[in-house]
Amino acid sequence: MLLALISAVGFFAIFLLVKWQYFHQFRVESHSGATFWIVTAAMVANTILVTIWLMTHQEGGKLLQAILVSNLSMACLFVLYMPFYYTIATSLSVRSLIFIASRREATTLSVLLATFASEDIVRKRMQLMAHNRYLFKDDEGFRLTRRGLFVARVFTCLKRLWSLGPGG
Amino acid sequence: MGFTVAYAIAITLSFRTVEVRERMLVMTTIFLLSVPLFIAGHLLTPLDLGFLSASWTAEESLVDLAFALLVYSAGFFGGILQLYNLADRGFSLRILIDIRESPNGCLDASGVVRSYSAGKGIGWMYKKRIDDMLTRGLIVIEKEQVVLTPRGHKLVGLFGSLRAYLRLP
Repeated sequence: MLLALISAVGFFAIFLLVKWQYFHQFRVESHSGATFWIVTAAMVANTILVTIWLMTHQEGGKLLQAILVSNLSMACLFVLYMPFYYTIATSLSVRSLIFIASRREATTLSVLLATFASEDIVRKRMQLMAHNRYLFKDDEGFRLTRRGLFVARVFTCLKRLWSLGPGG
Repeated sequence: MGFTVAYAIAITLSFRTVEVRERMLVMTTIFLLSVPLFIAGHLLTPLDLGFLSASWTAEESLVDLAFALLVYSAGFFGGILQLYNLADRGFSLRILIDIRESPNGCLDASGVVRSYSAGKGIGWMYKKRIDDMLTRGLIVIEKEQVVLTPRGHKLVGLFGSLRAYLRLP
């Protein structure tokens, strides 16, 4: 069990190093796609190492448990890491703060509204959502794909369940 | 797993029965308060849960507890809290729901700007972000100008360098 956890932490650290270095070296088109493949490779390598270790130390009886614990630990670390990554990458508040810091002249509320609450920002986001197959475009505008409709339905139910109101 | 489900039920009941303003704060506080209970529950429960075979139990109880805490934390920070964040604040998600709720199931960018969040408009969404930044002490508004606080500068230093390292536009 201890080996399974240590291996998971080690391979998660390797995943972080490889991902951040890869994103630093290359201009990555699909961040989620690249992240998926790197973490999958790390989990496969983790499984192989745990299997080899247990087989060579005559502990094959606990193999399935060790693989499950190790990969579940990696999945947990991944789930804890991704919100942090998305805050860096997509948060409107973070981008606004960086924008304010980068300007030489004064920033008024109307400048921020024109920059971050504009039709252009919405259009770019909708194009990204179309690229990720949540929306598709026709002559009238954007419509939901099956995938988009599924997500919209699930979260509409969750909003009702938690009495959240429109939000956004 | 049982604690995560119990937590989700408790949060659902509290959201439905009580008017909660600072939901994220309340959720995090309840989670932190539940951790000692979780540890106690873990220590009082037999390792084999009364039915698992020996090969499925851990010999090192501290390692077992660490693993259990990792799963519980991931279930909260990466699961329930993220679901709440998405449901209540997700920009893309709101666009999906607005398109679904539009009369002909179709919106262009200008339509979203007007009808965002059931008709409140995109300006409302951004003002909400501004209010959050004000509340968290990241910015102040002085003579109609938005100025970073020292805390805001620190955050820009951290996130700005991380974004630059990742070559994010």
